[in-house]
Amino acid sequence: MSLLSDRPSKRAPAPSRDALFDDAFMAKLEYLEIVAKRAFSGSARGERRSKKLGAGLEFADYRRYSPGDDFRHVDWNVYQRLGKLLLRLYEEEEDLTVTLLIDASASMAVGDRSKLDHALRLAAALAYVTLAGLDRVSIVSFSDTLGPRFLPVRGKAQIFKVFDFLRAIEPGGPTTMGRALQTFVHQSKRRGLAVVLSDLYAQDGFESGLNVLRYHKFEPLVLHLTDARELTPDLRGDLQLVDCETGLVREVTITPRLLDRYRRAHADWRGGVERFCTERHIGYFEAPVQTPFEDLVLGLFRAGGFLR
Amino acid sequence: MSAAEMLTLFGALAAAMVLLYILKLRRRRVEVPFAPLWARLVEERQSSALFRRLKRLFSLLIQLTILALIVLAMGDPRFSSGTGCGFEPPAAPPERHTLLLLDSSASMATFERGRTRTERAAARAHTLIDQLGDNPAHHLMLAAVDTDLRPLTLWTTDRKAAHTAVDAWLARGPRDAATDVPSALALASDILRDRPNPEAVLVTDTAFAQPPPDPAAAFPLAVESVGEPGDNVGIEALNVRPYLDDSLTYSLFYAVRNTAARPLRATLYLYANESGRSPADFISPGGGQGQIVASIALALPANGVVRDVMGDLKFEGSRLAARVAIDPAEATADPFPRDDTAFALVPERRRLRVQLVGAGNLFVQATLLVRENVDFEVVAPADYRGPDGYDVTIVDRADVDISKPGRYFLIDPAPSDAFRITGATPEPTVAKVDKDHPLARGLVLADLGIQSAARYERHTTDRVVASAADGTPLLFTRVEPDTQRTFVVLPFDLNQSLLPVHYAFPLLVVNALNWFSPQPGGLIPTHRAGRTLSLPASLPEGGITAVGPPEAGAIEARRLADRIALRADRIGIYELSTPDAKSPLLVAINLMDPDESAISPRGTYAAWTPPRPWTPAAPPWPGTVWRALLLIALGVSVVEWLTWHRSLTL
Repeated sequence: MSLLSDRPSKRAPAPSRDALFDDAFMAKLEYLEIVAKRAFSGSARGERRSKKLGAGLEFADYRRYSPGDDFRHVDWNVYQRLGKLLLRLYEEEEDLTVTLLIDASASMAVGDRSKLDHALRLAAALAYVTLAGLDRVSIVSFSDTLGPRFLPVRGKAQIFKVFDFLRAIEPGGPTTMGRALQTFVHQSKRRGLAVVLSDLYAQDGFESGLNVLRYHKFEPLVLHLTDARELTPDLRGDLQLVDCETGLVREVTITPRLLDRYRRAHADWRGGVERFCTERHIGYFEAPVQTPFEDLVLGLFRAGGFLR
Repeated sequence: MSAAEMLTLFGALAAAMVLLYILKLRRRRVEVPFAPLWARLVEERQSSALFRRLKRLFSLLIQLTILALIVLAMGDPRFSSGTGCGFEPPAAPPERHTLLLLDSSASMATFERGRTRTERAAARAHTLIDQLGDNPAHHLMLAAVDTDLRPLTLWTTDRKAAHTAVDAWLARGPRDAATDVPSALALASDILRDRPNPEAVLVTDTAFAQPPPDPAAAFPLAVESVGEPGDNVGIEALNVRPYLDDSLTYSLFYAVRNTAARPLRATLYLYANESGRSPADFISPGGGQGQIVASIALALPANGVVRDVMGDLKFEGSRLAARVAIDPAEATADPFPRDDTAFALVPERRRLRVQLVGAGNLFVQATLLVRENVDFEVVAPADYRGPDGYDVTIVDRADVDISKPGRYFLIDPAPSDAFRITGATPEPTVAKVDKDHPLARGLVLADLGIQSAARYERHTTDRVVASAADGTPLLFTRVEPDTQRTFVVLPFDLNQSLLPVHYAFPLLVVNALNWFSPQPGGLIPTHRAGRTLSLPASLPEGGITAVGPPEAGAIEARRLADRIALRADRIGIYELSTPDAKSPLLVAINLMDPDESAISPRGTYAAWTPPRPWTPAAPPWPGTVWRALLLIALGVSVVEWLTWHRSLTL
């Protein structure tokens, strides 16, 4: 029995894994690529301005010379005028690595797996657009631990490997984002855009995981998978609520008044997530399962934060 | 329901309820993605486990209490009266039985103030029914009364059904029958016997002789009178019969009564036809002049009767109707039309064919020629061809063949095989007459001056009507069944006697013709309406079909052994027939009842007093114990419902 209703669900059955990325899905990806090119023409194609300072062409700043620095970067004109050794710093241009962190905990698959399937489709779409932009894509699933990892690849031809990897993801286990992402950052040498596709139902709190990414120079972007049925569950009477991840049981008597309070609590929690991300300059984008994934991707492009 | 039954029922239901309660406590498991959100909410209002268990136990106790209250209510507990518990049983309404008798006799057709007495009686009956009130224990039965008593309803408390029965009775109208109050009251006594608070109310015009008080009557009789005094003229008797000379002339007997206290002049109109059954069939729309046979001016004495015989009446038709009407010059009207018309059936008169064989006898010829119902023919002996085609063959001193079957009137017959002469008696005188014989009816056979009478060989079937002193037959009959011959014999020569000049001779000829071909009875009786008649079964076997006047409605006619029972309620002429009948059997039905013709009310009776209105005592609130128990159960249920929706069980 699902969370969303104590009655049989009237929704269409979830598609099988093979049907996740069918021809129709591919056609939509092609369409997304065209739209992405048109929308972001003029932007650097295949290249991304890194926050890292290095051997780029674009001047960024000065800093004091330290022993061991490359003499080639000393600004001798400044030394002539001021008598100080200052190094010219340039923004390093490098290939962007987009890491898609997919929450594969049990909460993503509760009921009809709609959230996990939606996350997989979104991940596939983002991977396709990224690969089409000559960037690198890496994919990692997580729950309480880090799951299998798809190593960074480049080129559109890799998209089918991406599909195979996504199909192989199996949900299960509780969500402990802090520990899982801690493992991730330690195993990753390349920093870059870290797109977290999760419902953020983390037993240890979503904040620790996102902070880990921030602290390790990743650019987190949160795609928050939500389901409107979770906000207004069709429950009534005496029930035993079982947490699908922890097995924790709560006996409650559902009344209209309690449901109303639950709705308010859920809305507050969601508002807290968005507020946390905004305050910390973390890209936040809500992805309701009721919205088609292509609309979500386009909305993500328009909102910025994924490609710039 | 006894206490043991209630306990058993409560135990079973309580066990079922506890089982359901246990099942209800096993909550359904629902998987949620993130229970901490719920946990926070629940923890805000979480009570201690002990308190929750107590509340659940309290909820079960409340439901068991509700169940106990309902089971107790089903047992319908009662407190004995006088215990002061406020649940006094309502007082039973007083039981009463009222037999409402509606007069359906003929006099109820009297018109007064533009309405018939029946219409006034119906209106009074409706009022009376309404005055019975709403007492559910006041039973009512309606019955119609005339010559007998016919229930219109069973005992009922349905006032609407009683009104409907009155309307149906009014639609049928009164019958042309007399009122037999004693018989009706006897039947009413049987109906009301052993019933609590019986009474009978007769709605009538009281146009009947007051019955003597019956000390054995077990019920009070009240009379609601709807009649008013009035003058009336009616036919009390009517009959018609043919003249004794067998001609087509009739004499009419009638009797007309005047109930007014002053003399009245009236006219009696007579109508005749062959097929009429109702007054309208005889009396033409143009005032009855077209079919009038005769009219008789009457001078009716005050409170008296005119009885008379009208002779020398000639008409065509087998059915006769008489109608009496007060002369327009009189300052009174006849409000009761049903006795103004009467019917009579005319005995059938058939014309006889008679041949006189002989040289001619003027005495015989003169006698036959004046008979209107005789087709007379003189045949010479040489032209005689036998009796075929004639009802009677008169042979006057002619020697012709009389061997063929037939009816022969022989005057001084010639010797033959049938009549062998054994001698003669000179100058015989009539010494002995069989006055019982039809031939001798009205005859005075004296001074006949017979010169000689032949003596014939006697036959075993000879019957002497008149004989001389020595036994010589002077008039005799012979019936020969084997040869199918019938004879009337005068054994002397008419011309040699004084018989033809006596008035006895034409009577003798008429009697002879009647004896040969007897006509139907000289008088057909009429009958009264409203009675069951027992008529001779002169119709062939088979189902009897009865047709009467249009207003007769259903007619009861059935065969009982060798009789036919007929009951007719309306005046008129009724035709009874069977599939094989050649002609119908006619029956004339008349009112002709002096008591009904006297339409003024008679006697003094006690009027009916309506019962006091009965209204049920308002039951104390809530009336009965079980209602109170159910109300309590409902209240507790509301409390349980409210606590449920306030989530107190969380």
